[in-house]
Amino acid sequence: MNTPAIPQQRTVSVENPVQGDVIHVQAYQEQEILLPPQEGVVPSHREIHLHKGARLRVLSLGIPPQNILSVPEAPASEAHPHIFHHFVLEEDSQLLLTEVVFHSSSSQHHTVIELQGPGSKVDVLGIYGGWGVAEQHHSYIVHHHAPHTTSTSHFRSVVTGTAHLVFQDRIHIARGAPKSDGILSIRNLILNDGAHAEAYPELEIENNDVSCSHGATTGGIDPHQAYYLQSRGISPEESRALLVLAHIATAFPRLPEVYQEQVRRLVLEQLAYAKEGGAIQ
Amino acid sequence: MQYETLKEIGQGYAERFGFSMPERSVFTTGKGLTEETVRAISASKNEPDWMLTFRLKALEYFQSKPLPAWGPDLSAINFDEITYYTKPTETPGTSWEELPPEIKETYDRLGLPEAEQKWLAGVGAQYDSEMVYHNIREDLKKRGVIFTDVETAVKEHPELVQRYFATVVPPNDNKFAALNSAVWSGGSFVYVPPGVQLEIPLQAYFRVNTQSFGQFERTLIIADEGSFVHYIEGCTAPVFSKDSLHAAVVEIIALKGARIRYSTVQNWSTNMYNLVTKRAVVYDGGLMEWVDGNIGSKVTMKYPAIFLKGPGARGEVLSIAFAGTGQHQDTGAKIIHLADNTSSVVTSKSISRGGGISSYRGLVMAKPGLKNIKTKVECDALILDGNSVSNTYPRIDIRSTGATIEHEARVSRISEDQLFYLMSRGIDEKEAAAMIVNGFVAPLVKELPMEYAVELNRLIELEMEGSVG
Repeated sequence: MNTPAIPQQRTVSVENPVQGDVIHVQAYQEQEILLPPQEGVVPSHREIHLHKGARLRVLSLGIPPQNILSVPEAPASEAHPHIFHHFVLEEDSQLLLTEVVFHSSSSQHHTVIELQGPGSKVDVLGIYGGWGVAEQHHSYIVHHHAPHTTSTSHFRSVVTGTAHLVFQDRIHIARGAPKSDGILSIRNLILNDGAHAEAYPELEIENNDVSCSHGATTGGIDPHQAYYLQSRGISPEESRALLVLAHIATAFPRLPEVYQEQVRRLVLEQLAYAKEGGAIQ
Repeated sequence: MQYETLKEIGQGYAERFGFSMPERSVFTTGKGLTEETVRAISASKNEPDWMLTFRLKALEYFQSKPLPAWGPDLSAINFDEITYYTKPTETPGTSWEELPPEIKETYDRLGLPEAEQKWLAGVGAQYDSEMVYHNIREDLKKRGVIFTDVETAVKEHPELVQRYFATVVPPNDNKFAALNSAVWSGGSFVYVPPGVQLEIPLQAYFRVNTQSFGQFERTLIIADEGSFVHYIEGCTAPVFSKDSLHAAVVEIIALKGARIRYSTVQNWSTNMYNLVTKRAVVYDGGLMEWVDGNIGSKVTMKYPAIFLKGPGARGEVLSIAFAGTGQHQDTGAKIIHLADNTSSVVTSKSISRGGGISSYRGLVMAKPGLKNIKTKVECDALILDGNSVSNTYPRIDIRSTGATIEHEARVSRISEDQLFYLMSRGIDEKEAAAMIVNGFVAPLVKELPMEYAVELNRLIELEMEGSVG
């Protein structure tokens, strides 16, 4: 190996980066960022630049502190925070992005990831929940500009009430990016009729020396899976809870324990919320 | 890596289909589109008033709608340079001998009369604006099957036409459906009575002979309860330096328990804009199958749609697109679930090479509160060189817990692993590459009638030798 050793000590996490500033992760540095540090969903615009060989872990959170039923449902017209994240990755840098957004109001999320340097790599996992009259729009683009770049993007959502979640996610592999790999998957779970999920998993491939795939599934709790669990002696209630938790559980290893607990609580509350609406069978 | 055995898509087109006959017409509206053009077309067809009113309303829609802001670039279409109506003969014939010699020769060279005798229940042939030939086997006629051009149907079966015409694709649906509704001419009208099953297919062949021409046929197929029909459509045109336009509307109604299969082998010359609206409505327990092969044209925008309106209705779309040099194939499928227990499958394959662009654009939608909806969409794309492009733009819009929607797409080149495996078994590289491409398109090719399967394989010039079936 002729690449310089990556310094082992971690820099202190940037707890409150100034709005609009560009965050630089210097060459071969390893860093962790929590975005945004406030509770709930607030508007923000972040430019994040990863220099050569840098590694960055980002946890982007938008979750309410209280019980979901106690959060007043903001009318769709009132809250429209725009959350814009722009990442630029230089040669051999790596980004691990985990996004958690659970709320009942409106928000727009734009994430642009530019793999500008050869060998750069991004791994994105997002879990989302919307209930009440939530309107969540996610637009997400990964641009592969350089050769040997890799992206994996997994999105999971749980939708209840009359919430409307839109995922417009695109992988773009430019002509100058041979030997690149892109994977995109979107899975939406609808807990009651009237909840609305839209997925636009898009690919734009301008190069033949790549491998790129996407998958998307949308639907309710699989009755066969629920039946199987019940046949093993698990109550209908519990089996539904297990299946909904399993749907988003892939994110847990990437979340600090305190947030794992919060997300678990939110998801179970959403399930109860769907049931209260009387729509789920 | 060179795949010499995979020759240029559409190679040999000029010799086999690209010939042109001297232009002939007994009546033409000339270039450009105005209200007068529409009135002249209607008068030439001696139409009832309701049809003229319909056409004029549609012309207004066409003039007021902008070109689509998405998809391929259509800005090069010069609507004033196009001839919208050219009538080649006075009346359609029912025997090939009645046709003028140059038209007869065209179809002889395309092999249509021969195919009719061998394996078709009926044939319709459109030359520029009009169906010049329509014939159906006597025994099917006796069983009540109607297979004729739409103009004749307007006169002879007004009750059926007025009941279904433009109910599936309204004239204000999109710019090109509006254009078609204003200046439509030709196309097939098919009615299959309850319980009648046509074991062998009906075929329509569309030929454009005039330069800078617009062909606007309109097809209406009604399969009554429990019936079955397979309708095949083929199309070619001479290679001209100026662009032509083909904007068809196809409306299909599958009533309770009926099954309709509609196969297209679109092989227009590469100076053709092919902008087509195809849509089917399926009632209780019915089945609609679109089998769609897109090989030719400069730009194709075609998204066969299925509205599953009755419980238990099913829909299937199987499509393949080849985009070669200078071609943009923007194809896909739309499935709208409007009733319980409906299911659909979309399988789309595309191959791009030589700088061609192929795009999948699709929609799957389910109305809220429906039970037991199942959809599977699969898009596979193969890119054969570094200059070509493949895009996927699906939309999955679900509002009900009772729906299971799966969508999968993969874009790749010919897999090194597969090549390596085949070569390790003693097959040389070219042959292995051809075999992999052949396997890639196989699911579609096997659904086509034999003659078309052979044609399709020939068109993409696959080296079939040594491939195992």
